[in-house]
Amino acid sequence: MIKIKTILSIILVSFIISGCAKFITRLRVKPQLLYEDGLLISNSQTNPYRFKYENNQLRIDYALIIKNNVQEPKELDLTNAYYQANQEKSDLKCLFPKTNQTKKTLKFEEQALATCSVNITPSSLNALMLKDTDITLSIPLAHNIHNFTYRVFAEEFVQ
Amino acid sequence: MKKLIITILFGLSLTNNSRASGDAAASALVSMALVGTIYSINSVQYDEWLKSEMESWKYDETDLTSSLSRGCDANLELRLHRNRRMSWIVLVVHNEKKEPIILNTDNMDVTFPNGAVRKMKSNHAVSDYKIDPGWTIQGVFPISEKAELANFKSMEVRLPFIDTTGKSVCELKGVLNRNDKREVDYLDYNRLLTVEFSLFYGNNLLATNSLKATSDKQGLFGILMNIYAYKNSGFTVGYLRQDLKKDNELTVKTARNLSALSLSETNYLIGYAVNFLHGRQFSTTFGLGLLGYTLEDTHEQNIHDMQNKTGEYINANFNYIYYSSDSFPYRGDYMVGLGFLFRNIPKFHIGNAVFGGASLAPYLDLNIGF
Repeated sequence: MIKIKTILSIILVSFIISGCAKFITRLRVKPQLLYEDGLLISNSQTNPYRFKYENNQLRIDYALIIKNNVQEPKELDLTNAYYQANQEKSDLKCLFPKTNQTKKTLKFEEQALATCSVNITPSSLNALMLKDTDITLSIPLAHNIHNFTYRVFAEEFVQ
Repeated sequence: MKKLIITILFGLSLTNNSRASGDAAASALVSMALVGTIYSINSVQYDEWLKSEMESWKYDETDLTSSLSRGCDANLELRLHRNRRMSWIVLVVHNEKKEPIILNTDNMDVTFPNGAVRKMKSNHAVSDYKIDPGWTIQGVFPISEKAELANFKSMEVRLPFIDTTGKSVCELKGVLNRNDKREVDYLDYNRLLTVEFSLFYGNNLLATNSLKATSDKQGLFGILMNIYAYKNSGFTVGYLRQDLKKDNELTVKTARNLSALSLSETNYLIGYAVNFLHGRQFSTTFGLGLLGYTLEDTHEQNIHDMQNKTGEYINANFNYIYYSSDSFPYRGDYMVGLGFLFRNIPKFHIGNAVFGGASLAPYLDLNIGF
């Protein structure tokens, strides 16, 4: 007869093993559905919970669905995208995964998916732990730079 | 390390200071484990949600069903998702006006190319919905029969906005298009169950050997769980119990010559199961597999003998779906029906009495499928 304490212990140990394996900084990104410069932009393809902490680096993956809503074709160039948290600023690698290019012309009513990723260094992580911080991903689309913001919750856990 | 310290502090805050440090540490570990687990589950769930779009409705440019549109100074995103049982439209509306807009949720509808119009019924009981400037709302709208979508190449979603007096002011529209160039995924248009629980009661109609001699007056009670892992196929685990009647003839035949022999049998089922849903009204399930059979011979609550045998079973089950819901928390198909269970157990002896044999038992059942 298996005792109730044994079962509870097994459940507890399972929780600890599965839980500890997944500790990373908790970031949150709010849903955004914007219209700027004739472009409709949605971040619904970004998993707000999905961040990888590997080799002392926090990796953020971001995805944008973009649609040209005006007759004039839009030249998109993601080359100069960057990320900023507190005073730190670094490059953000963005591209259109369908073509593996950073540039694309969007015709009227055409849609595209753009993905971005950034590896945040340990020094940035230390800065992030000081207080609730916004990480800003700045992505140039057509003529404007669009800022997408993550809120970092410092009460959560960082390795 | 910081993670560990913060977690332990969090755990300590949950415990009474006067408690032993062991309790505090345990509490910290539990909270640490729970937070991590919840986080990881959320992450996996969102990934699964992103992957659950209708394959044949994805656009080539994005590999997504996401469709963006604009009107009434509001932005609209539509997506078409599905799981094994149902499909649903996910709708996101962002208000870009400098004043609130009111979405008339009672009159939102979908128009199909053949002119058919369907009301969009929300999972949540909301009427007119005010969206403040700069705010974004999201809604989920089930499509009751996803097989119907196979007949259509597009659908237009219409969202009416009203003013505070209830007068219509504007309509926001979005279109979802099927992409004929893409392969149709099996789950896109087939409605399938994932898990099915069944509770049943029956009796042996035809039986041989001890199954006839001992069970003609006693009922057979059982529970079954079917898990469908690949398309509509899966496996069954089940438990059946039958208290057999006291039989003087059998008592004499057994070597112990007890004053009153009391027999009960237990069956453990494991096997293959396949389910067919016929629209929203009927469900049939067939299964076959192995049966672990235990016969207990008890007297004054002491087990005198126990025989374990391995047999086979075939199960057929016909159900009427009397209630089907896609709305949380009642989501599921609720069924009532009848079935037939055939069992074959190898012959064995207790004393001079022959046990085992074959039986066919009709039964009545209550089912819930998800």
